[in-house]
Amino acid sequence: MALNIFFTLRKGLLFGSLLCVFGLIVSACKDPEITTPDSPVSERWDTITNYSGLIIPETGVLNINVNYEFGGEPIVFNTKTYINAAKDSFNVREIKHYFSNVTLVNHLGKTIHLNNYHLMDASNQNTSQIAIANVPPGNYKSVSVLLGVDSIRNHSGLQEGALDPAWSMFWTWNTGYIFFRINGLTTWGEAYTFDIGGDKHAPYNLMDLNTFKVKSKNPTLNLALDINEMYQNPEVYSFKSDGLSIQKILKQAIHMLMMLRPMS
Amino acid sequence: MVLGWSSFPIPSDNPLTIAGVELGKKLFFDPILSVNNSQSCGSCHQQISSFSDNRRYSMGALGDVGVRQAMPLFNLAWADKYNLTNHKYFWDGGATDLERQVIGPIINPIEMANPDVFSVIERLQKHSEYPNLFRRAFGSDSITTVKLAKAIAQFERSLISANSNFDKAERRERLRTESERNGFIIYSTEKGDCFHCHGNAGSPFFTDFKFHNNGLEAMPKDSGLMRVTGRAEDFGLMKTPTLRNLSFTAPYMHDGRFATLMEVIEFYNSGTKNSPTVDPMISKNFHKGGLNLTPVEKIDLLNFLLSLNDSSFVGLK
Repeated sequence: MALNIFFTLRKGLLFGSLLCVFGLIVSACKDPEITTPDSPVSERWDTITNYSGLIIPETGVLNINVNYEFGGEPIVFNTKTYINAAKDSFNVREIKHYFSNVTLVNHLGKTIHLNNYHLMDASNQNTSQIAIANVPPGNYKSVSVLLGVDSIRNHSGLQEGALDPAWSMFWTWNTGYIFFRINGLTTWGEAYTFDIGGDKHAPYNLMDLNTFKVKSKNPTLNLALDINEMYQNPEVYSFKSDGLSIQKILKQAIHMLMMLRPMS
Repeated sequence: MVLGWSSFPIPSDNPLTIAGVELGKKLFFDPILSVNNSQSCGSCHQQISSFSDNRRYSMGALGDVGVRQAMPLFNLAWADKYNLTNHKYFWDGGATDLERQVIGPIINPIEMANPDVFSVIERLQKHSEYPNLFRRAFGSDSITTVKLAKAIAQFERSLISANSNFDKAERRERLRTESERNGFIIYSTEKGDCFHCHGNAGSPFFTDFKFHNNGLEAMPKDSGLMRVTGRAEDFGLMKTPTLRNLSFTAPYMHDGRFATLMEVIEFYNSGTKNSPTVDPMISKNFHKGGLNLTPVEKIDLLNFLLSLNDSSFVGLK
């Protein structure tokens, strides 16, 4: 330890001396520049080898793929029958949801908002694989996602792009967006639809990146969204006894979406 | 304050332009907005009814009938200014702002019944005139949901009604009749107690832009504001409607249950009912059986209310 410090000091002195020699020729010798807390620290992320989390060495692109699963298996739409913990059997026709406010937290605890708004349609890979550009360099320890729309955008005016009400993820005669929609048909022929929304129901997912050891200018986060959790975490939900009561599903949906996990 | 263009609050995200209001007016009266080209906004918001509907419940493009009375449209810009909540428009506050309100009827299955907004935009984009009109109003002939809603909202905000006998009296252009004057006193004192919710000369909108349970029913059938907020204390609360242009906006209340203004006055005089969310301004008179207005006082109050009619606004002389 002591040796290390000494070595650093020596290196600093040597560097300083060299500057002085050069400086004398031009004008006068100046003190080496002192980094103030206000000036940006340019850390050479690409030289660090012993790290945890996600390192983006220079301004890059964050790719995010959402994989839709049921009990750990990829969802097959329409044709496959799924059975939940309550022994209900049903298929899945459609899963659509908002995916917004991706936020990174770096090793100093600083939060970087990427300000994205995406509408994902599980049956269309083009919408569930997104790329967010202009991500600042840094060593990131966690990432959070809102599977919905933040309360500000949810209540103010009309917007273009993913938040265009024309996408039919907007409630008529109500305040705001449908954050998450799933529908399908039970094997006894009953159609079901869950439309989840409302500020207090916006599922916010914080994911730890410490075990995610990746260094890349274009990293990819593979996330999993397990529909089965909606029907069993923490309570067992039954189509037959709970009916299509939205209240229980609203609580459960947050747990389903907590299953989103980073996979390298 | 003077109600009119001098006090008009211009929305920063949708300032009115001549081209925008003209486009909005054309859209408002064009049945192209409904799924089968059968009805426009103006079908249920008719000028002669102060942009309301004289039917108790309006009928949609596919013949479906709604459950609430169409609200009149005028002096809407001030609701943006004086209601700072997320519940500004419609009986139950189900629209956060005028632009969003515009989208509601277009895609509601029992109103204009379009499956989505894209199909409406496609029709407008293929139209011989609309792309050009959108370019004049918004600088580009590419039509979007936002531009569609902004144009109609601009037209709706341009509907200002401020030329009633009441306004003329306030401007010293006429004298109030004796009955009107007596009615005004009943209106703006505890005797009639209308002013707490409907405003007074200092706030000449004749609505407080808020929501109340006025005691229509002991067990309200319509959950009102609670449908939108989910809060139990909002059960049965409805938006305070403006009292301007009452002669043109019958029938009355959110469900159009009263055909005449005299029925409405009699309801407040003796018919209000208790329920857990009833407004304190209503319940405070329960102990004495209501307002106890005399027949002459009721006529005076009626005459004051009639002085809020602006016949030039509905196209009459």
